[in-house]
Amino acid sequence: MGKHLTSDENKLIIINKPGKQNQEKEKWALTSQYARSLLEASLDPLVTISAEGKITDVNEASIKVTGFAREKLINTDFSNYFTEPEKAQEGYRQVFEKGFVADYPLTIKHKNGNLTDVLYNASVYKDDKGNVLGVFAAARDVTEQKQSSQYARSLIEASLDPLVTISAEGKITDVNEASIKVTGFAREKLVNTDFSNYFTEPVKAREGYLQVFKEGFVSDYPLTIKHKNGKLTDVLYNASVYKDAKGNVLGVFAAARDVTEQKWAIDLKIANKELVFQNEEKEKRAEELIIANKELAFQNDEKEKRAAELIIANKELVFQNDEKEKRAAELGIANKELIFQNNEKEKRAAELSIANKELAFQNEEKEKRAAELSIANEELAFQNDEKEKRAAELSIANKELAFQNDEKEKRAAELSIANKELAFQNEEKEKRAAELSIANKELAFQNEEKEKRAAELIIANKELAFQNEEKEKRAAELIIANKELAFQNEEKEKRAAELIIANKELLAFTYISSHDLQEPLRKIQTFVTIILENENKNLTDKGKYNFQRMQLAAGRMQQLIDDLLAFSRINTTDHQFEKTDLNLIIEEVKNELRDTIQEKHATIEAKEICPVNIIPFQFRQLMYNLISNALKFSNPDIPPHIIIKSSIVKGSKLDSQHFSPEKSYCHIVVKDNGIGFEPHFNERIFDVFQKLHSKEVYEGTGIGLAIVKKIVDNHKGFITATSELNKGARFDIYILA
Amino acid sequence: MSIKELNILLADDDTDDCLFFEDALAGTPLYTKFTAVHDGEQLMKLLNNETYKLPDVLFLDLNMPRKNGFECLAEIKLNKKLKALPVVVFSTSFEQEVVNRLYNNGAQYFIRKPAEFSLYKKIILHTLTLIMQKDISQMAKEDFVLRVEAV
Repeated sequence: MGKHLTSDENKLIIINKPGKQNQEKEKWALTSQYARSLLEASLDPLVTISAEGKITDVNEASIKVTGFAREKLINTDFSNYFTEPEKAQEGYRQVFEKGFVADYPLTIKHKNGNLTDVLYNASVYKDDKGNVLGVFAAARDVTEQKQSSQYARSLIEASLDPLVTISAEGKITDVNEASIKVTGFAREKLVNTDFSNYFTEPVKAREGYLQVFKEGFVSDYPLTIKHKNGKLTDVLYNASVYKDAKGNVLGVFAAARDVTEQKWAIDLKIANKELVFQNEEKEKRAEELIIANKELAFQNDEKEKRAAELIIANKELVFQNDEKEKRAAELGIANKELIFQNNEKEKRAAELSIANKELAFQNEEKEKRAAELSIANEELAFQNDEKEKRAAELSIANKELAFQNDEKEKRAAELSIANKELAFQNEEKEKRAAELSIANKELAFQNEEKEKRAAELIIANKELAFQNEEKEKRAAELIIANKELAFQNEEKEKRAAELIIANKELLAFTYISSHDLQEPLRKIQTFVTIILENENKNLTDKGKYNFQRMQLAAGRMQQLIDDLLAFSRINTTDHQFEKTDLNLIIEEVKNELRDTIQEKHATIEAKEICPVNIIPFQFRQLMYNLISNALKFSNPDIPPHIIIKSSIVKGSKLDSQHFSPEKSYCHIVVKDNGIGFEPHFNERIFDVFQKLHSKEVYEGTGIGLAIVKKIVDNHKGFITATSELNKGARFDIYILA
Repeated sequence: MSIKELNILLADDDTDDCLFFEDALAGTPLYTKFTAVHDGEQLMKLLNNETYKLPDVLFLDLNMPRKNGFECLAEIKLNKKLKALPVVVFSTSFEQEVVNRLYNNGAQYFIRKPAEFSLYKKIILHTLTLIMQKDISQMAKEDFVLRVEAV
């Protein structure tokens, strides 16, 4: 009976239990797939054998242990795969004969030669009518004991029922794959958690396993497992406690069966029966425990009797101890007396010891003195030796001194020679010193000369410094004078600028006032003429005459204003210079004066006229004034003849300081055959209001030639008048060409 | 000599001159209508009046208050409706520069106001005769200034 298997394995390797064989076969027949998986999961080589001894089926372990494929094994003789085929044949014959064999030893040979020692457990299996179909044989590799736990695990894992072990505290200690599937939690999530957590009714679950601990088992305990995704599975639990080899309860083993699957009911019944069997066993153990307890109680009574006897013995011992203490006290007194006597003996001994020490000391002193005398004698002997050594050294030293004296005399002789040499050298030095003295005197003389020159230079320098100071004084005075001049120049410029402004204002005033004066004057004239015209017959001759005089006065005033206007206009008008043909200007003037020219039968001759750079408007005025003057101051006896001519001349050819020699000038001459004037008037005639004749003889304002002069000045030119009385007049104008 | 009435406009701020002008005009044998305004603004206002019939000739003084003769002349000659109007400048003083400027600006004639009343009459008659006889195209420059001495 499977002594290598645990109790868990026993449940599944049911073939070893003959009473249950037929039930197992039914189960396999019904759930061949389940059986197959269990067979395949088994690490033991499992095999079914026909009545003829042929292999009808094998599991994976059988394939591994033989090295042959499944199809190679099936329908071959079972006995072929063992080292002892006859023993193998004997084995399965025994099974057919007895219905089973257990622990039948055989050696399987692998096709590569490996041998595996196994024990066979085998039994017949039958159909549901009880006919034997064949043998089911399971081999166990006896060399591999440790594989047993792995085997158990694989069997548990192979179960489709959720299997679980629970600790006394209700914690899950282990689960199989089916438990993982039904809860949806991983193994490691389930282990060490409360068993009751995975049910719809945790309280009922808890009651269930508590009941197992209390009663040893439960069967068909209904619970509902909840999957983590919410799916519920109704199950019936069969559970029982499991124990170690000494019978101690380790925990609960619980197997759930999905109750919707009726085929599991059979399984549950089997499990329950097994549980009942185990419970019976447990009860037997409990009875044995009661007997053991009674034995313990008897042993306790015996121990109490022994304890009473010990108490009596202890009292006897106490009495004996008291007696011993008394004897000890008597011994203490006797010991004190002995100690006193010992002390006295020690004192005497000490006194003797001191006396001995004193004697020893005196002996030592005597020995020291003797030793000192010996040392003193040795010292004296040593000193004598030393004295002899010094005497020897003195002798050597004397010899040395004698040698040194000889050497000194030799050196003295050498010194004498050297002194003579030095004396010679000193004489030479004195000669040189004398020569140097002469040279020094010469130098001193030269220095004196230099000092004289230096003194002279100092005097000269002082003179120069004095002269420089004088020059600086003059320079300073000049600077002051220059400043004064600069200031005066500035003042002059200021005055000049002021004068220019004042002149301009004056001329502007002249122009404006002249212009505005004309209007009332003209009206006086007009009114006079109206009176003379319209009131002529009402006026006396005297009255008419006076009005005529008034008319003349007004006319002269008008002329004066006209001329003043012209004069001022020359100043106020700023004109551009233009290269102009003088002929055109002369023609214009002639045109203007044509009435007078005709009246006086005058001739105007213009020849060799060159172009001139002039202000045309002003030069026209100039020509007008000169020609009209020539016509006005004509000789009444001869018709006026006016000659105008011009030429370019070099300044160098003209004998006047007014001209620049290097420049060219346009020389214009206007000459007439009129009455002329006395030569001394040749400059005055250009003054304003300068008249040479009374207005009764020659009308005029005395402004015409002043205008001419001013125009020439404006042209940066020069004009002269030359005349003699009754010999005509000549005007020479020079302007820059 | 036209039988038609000669419409004459004088712009002069001086009432004496206006009187002289009117008297002088009366002394001529011409059949005239005479109107006088006394400053430049009045003149331009009248000329620009739509209902006003333009005169045959305008005698224009230069020195006038508010708007002088130069300004009026320029306005007239720049105005399409008025530019055909003959403008005779009638001034007290004579300056060549001023005369040149007036000629360039399109005046018909320049007359210096004479001192003698008889000359006044003569020059006005002469001017009006020239205006009536000739078309209004501008004179050559040498004929621009009408001189009393030449009348």
